[in-house]
Amino acid sequence: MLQLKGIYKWYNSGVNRTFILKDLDLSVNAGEFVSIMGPSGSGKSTVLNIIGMLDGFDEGQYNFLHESVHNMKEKQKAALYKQYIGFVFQAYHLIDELTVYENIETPLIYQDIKSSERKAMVADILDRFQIVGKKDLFPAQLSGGQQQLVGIARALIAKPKLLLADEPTGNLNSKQGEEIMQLFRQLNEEGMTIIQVTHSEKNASYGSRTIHLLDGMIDRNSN
Amino acid sequence: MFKNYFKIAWRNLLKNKTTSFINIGGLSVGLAVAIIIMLWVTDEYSTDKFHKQLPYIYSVMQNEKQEGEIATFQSQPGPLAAALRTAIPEIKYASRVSYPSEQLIKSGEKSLYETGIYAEPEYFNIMSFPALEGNAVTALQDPGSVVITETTAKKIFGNEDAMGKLITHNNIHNLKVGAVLKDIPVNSNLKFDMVLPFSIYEKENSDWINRWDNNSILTWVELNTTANAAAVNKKMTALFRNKSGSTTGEIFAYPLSELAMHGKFKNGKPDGGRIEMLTMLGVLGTFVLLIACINFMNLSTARSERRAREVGVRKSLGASKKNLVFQFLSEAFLMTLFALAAGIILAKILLPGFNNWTGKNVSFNMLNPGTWLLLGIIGFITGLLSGSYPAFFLSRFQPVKVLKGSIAVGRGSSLFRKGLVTFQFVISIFLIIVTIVVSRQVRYAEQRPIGYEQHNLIEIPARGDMIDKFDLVKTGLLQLPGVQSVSAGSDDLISFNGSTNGIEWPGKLKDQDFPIAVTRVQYEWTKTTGLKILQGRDFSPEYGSDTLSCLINEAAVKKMGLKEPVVGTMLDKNKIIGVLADFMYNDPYTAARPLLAFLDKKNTSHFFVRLQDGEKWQNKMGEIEAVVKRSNPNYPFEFHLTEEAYDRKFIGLRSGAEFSSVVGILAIIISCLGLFALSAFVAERRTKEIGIRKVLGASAKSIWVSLSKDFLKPVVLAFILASPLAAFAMQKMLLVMEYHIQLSWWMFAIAGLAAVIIAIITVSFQGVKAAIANPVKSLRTE
Repeated sequence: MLQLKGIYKWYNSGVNRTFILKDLDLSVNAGEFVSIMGPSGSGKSTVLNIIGMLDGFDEGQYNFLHESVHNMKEKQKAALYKQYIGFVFQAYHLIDELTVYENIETPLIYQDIKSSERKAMVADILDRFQIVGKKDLFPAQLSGGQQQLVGIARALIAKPKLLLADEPTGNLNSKQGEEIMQLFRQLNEEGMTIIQVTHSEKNASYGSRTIHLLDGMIDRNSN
Repeated sequence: MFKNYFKIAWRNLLKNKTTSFINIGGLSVGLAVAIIIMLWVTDEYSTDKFHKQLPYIYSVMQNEKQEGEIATFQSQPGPLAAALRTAIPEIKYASRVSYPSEQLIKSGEKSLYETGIYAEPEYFNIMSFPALEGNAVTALQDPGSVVITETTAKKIFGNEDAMGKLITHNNIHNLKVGAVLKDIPVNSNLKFDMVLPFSIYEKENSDWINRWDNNSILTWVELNTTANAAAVNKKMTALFRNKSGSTTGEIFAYPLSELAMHGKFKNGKPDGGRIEMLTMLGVLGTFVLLIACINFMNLSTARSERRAREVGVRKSLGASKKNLVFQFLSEAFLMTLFALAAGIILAKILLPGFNNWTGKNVSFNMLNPGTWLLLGIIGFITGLLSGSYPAFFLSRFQPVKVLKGSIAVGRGSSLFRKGLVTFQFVISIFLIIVTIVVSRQVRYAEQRPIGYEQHNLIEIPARGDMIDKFDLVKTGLLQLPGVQSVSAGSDDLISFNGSTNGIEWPGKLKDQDFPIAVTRVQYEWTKTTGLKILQGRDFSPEYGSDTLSCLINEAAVKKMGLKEPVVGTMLDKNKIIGVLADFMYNDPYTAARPLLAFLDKKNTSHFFVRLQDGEKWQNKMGEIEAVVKRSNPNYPFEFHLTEEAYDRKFIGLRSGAEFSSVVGILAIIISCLGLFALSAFVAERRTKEIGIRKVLGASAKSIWVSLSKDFLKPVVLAFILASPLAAFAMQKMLLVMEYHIQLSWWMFAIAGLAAVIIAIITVSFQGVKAAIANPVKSLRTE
C-alpha cells in the first residue's frame, strides 16, 4: 500500500543538524495492522505524520498507492489524503463547539458530499458504534472513552483505506483502552489497514507487526 | 457548508460573551457613526439635484481682478440677462433674481414677515418648483401678482383657497396670489416663501438696476441641450466687456449641480467648498469604523491560540485553506451582521438628536433601496476588513504543530496587534487635540474685545417706511425711564454688508484698490452702541454741515496710510471728523477691516436702543414695543439682542468642536474596549506566569506594572505620532483665520496624558485582578 524509502528529516539548530529521521525504510501492505513503538523522541509520531501527509520530509521517497507523494504539490496531497486516510488522536481532538453528530459529519462536508447522503452515512456509523443516543451531546459531556469512540467514528466516516492512530488509548483507562483496541482489531479483520503509534506492548500485540524505532532509525521489526 | 460555519460561529459567539459583546458593541457604535455620516453626506449630495433640467442649468458668475487676485462672485449687473437672451442663441432661458430678503405681507388682520425673492417669469421655466395651483410663469408676468408657497398660504389664509386673494406687500402694493407652489424641498439651496414680480424690484431700484457697473442681482440661465458651455462663456465675456467697458472682467456659466458642493473659488478657479467638509466627515467616519474593525482583528488574532487546535483538527479532517478562510470570514460577517443591525437601530435612535444638534434634516428612509445598498456595502466592507486578516492568519496554522500542543503565536503577530492599537490611539489622540485646539480658538474669539457694549443693546429692524418716523420713535423712547440713548444705522453692528472701492484720499497709490465697508448712521451712533472715538468727535447737530463728513476706523487709517492729523483729511468730498477705535464685525476670526461711517437720516434700517446699566431688558420690551407700534401700527414688532445675535457667529466652529469631541470620545471608548479585552486576554494567558512570580515573591504592584507597561507603549507611541500630525493640521486650520491662538505644548500634553490615563485605567482592571489573585488557585487550575 505504501513505501517509505530513505526518508530523512532534520532540523538545523545553529551549525548542528539534528536528525529526527535517518534513512528510514518502511513498507506497509494493504490489510496490515502495524504498530510503531519506541522511546520518546525516537520519531514515532513524525513517521505517522509523514505517512498521513500532515508533515513533510527533507529527503527520500514516499509512494502511496503507487503515486509518488514526494513529487506532489500541496493540493494533490490534500486530495489524496482526504480520500484515503483517517486520523485518530491521543487527545481525541474533537471540536468543542460541535455536537457528536456534527463532529462526525465534518469530514464529509469537506468532501462536498450532499446533505442527504451525509445524513445516511452519519446515521449508519452512529448505529454501528452504538452512540445514536449521544449524537446531540457536546464533547465535554462525554467520557474519554466515548470521545475517542467518536474520534474513531469521525476518522472512519469517509471510508478511508488507511487508519492512522497516534497513541489512541494514551488518555484512556485500561478498560476503555482495551475496548478501543478490540474495535481496531475488528476493523482490521474487516480489511482496514491500520498503523498505530503506541507505548504499550499490550496494545502492540493487537497488531500483526511491530516496528521498533530508536533515534530516527528502525531498530527492529517483529511479527 | 455555510450552515455549519454559522453554527460554529454562533456557538463561539455565545461562548465568549465578553469578547463578543465588545466586538459587536464597538462595531455597532462605529457603524452607527458611519451610517449617520453616510446619511448626512448623501443628504448633502442631494442638494439642488431635484431640478429636471439640472444638466443645463447654470448660474452666471463673474471673475474680476481685485488687489492682484481674481475675485469670483455670483452677483451680476441688471441689464445682463436681457442682453444674453437676445445675443446668445444657446441660451434657452435667462432670469434675473434678487437675493432673498424679509418681506412684510398682510391680509386682513394677519401680518407676517416671509422670505421673498423677486424673479423674472423664466425662473420657473428653468427651475423645477412645481405649482399646486395656478402657473408661476404666467403669474410673474403680471406685475400685480405674487407667487407663494403652500406653507405661507396656510399661514396667511388658513384653510381657505389662496388663489386670487389679495396680499398687501410691505404696506405698499396689493398683490393677487397668482400661483401656490409646493413647498421648496429641504434639499434646495434656493430657499424662499414667496416670489414677487421682478418688475416691482426694477421700479424700486431704478437708480442702479440698468447700470453695467453695479453687480447686485443673480442671473440664472438654462442652455440648449446641444450648447457648449465654453463657447457660451466666450460669447458672454465678449458681450459683457463690450457693454460694461471692463477689460479684465470675465463672465462664465457655472453649473447648478456643482454650486452646492464646489461653490468656493480661488483666483477665478473652483476651489473646494462644502465638499471639503463632507470629505473630512467621510474620513472621520471611516476612521471610527476602522478603529472598531481593528478591535475585531486584534481580539480574533489574540484568541487564535484557542482556535488553533480547531484549525489543526479541521485540516486533518480534510479542510483546505480556502474552507477555513471562508469559515472565519463567515464568522466575521455574522458578527458584522449583528453589529449592523444594532448600528442601524442606534443610528435611528440618535438621528433626531443629531438633526437637532446640527440643524439639519437628515432622514433615514428605510424604504429606499439605495439606502440599503449603501448599508450593504458598508457592512460588506466592514466584515471583509475585520475578518480577512484573522481569517488568513488563522488558516495558516500547520496542523502538526498546533496539534502537538502549544503553538507560540509569533512575535510578528503580537507586534502587528500593537501596531493596530497604536493606530487606534493615533486617531483618538489626534481627535482629542483637535477638540482642545478648536474649542480654545472658539473661546479665544468669543472673549475677543468687541469694541462696543453689547450688553443691553437692542436692535429693532426698521422695515419699509418705519425709518421716516425715526425722530418720533426716538423722542418717545427717550421718555421711557431706563432708556439711555437711541440711534439708527444701515447695518446692525454684527455684520456690515455695503462696501465701495472708489474712494480717493490724499496719497492714494495706484495699487491701493481695496473694498472699504460703508455704513450710514444717525446722530449718537457711537454713544448708543458704545463705540470709542480715539480722535475728533461724533456727528452732532451742533455742526450743521455734518452731511459732508465721515468717521473712519483705525484699520482704514492704517490701510490707507493716512498721515497725521487724520482728522480733517478729505476722502472724496467728505471730511474726516473722527477716528473710531477698531471693533469686531462680520467674521470674528479676521482682523479688523476698514470702515467708513456717514451721517444719513434716510437710508438706515436698524434702530438701536441703549438701556441703562443694570436695567433688565425683559422689563422694558413692553414699553418699547408700545412706543414703536404707536408710530408704526402697520408693522409687527420685532427686536434682536445684539449680544445674542453676536453669539450666533460662533455656532459654526463651536459645533465643529463639539462634533470632533463626540467622535473623539467615541474613538477613545471603542479603542479602550479593544484594549480592555486584549488586556483581559493577556492577563488570562499569563495567569500561570503571574502565579509563579507571586510564589517567588513578586509584589502585586510589580505585577500590575509589568502587565500594564506592555499596553502603554503603543499609547505613548501613538502620542508621539499623533502630535506632529495634529500640530500640522491645526496650524493649517488656524492660519486660515487672522485672529487665532498659538498652538502650545500643553494642548498636546493634555491630550496625551488623557489618553495614557484612560488606557492605564482600562488595562488596570485586568492587571489588578491578576495581581491580587491567589497564586495557589491559578497554579492549581493550570
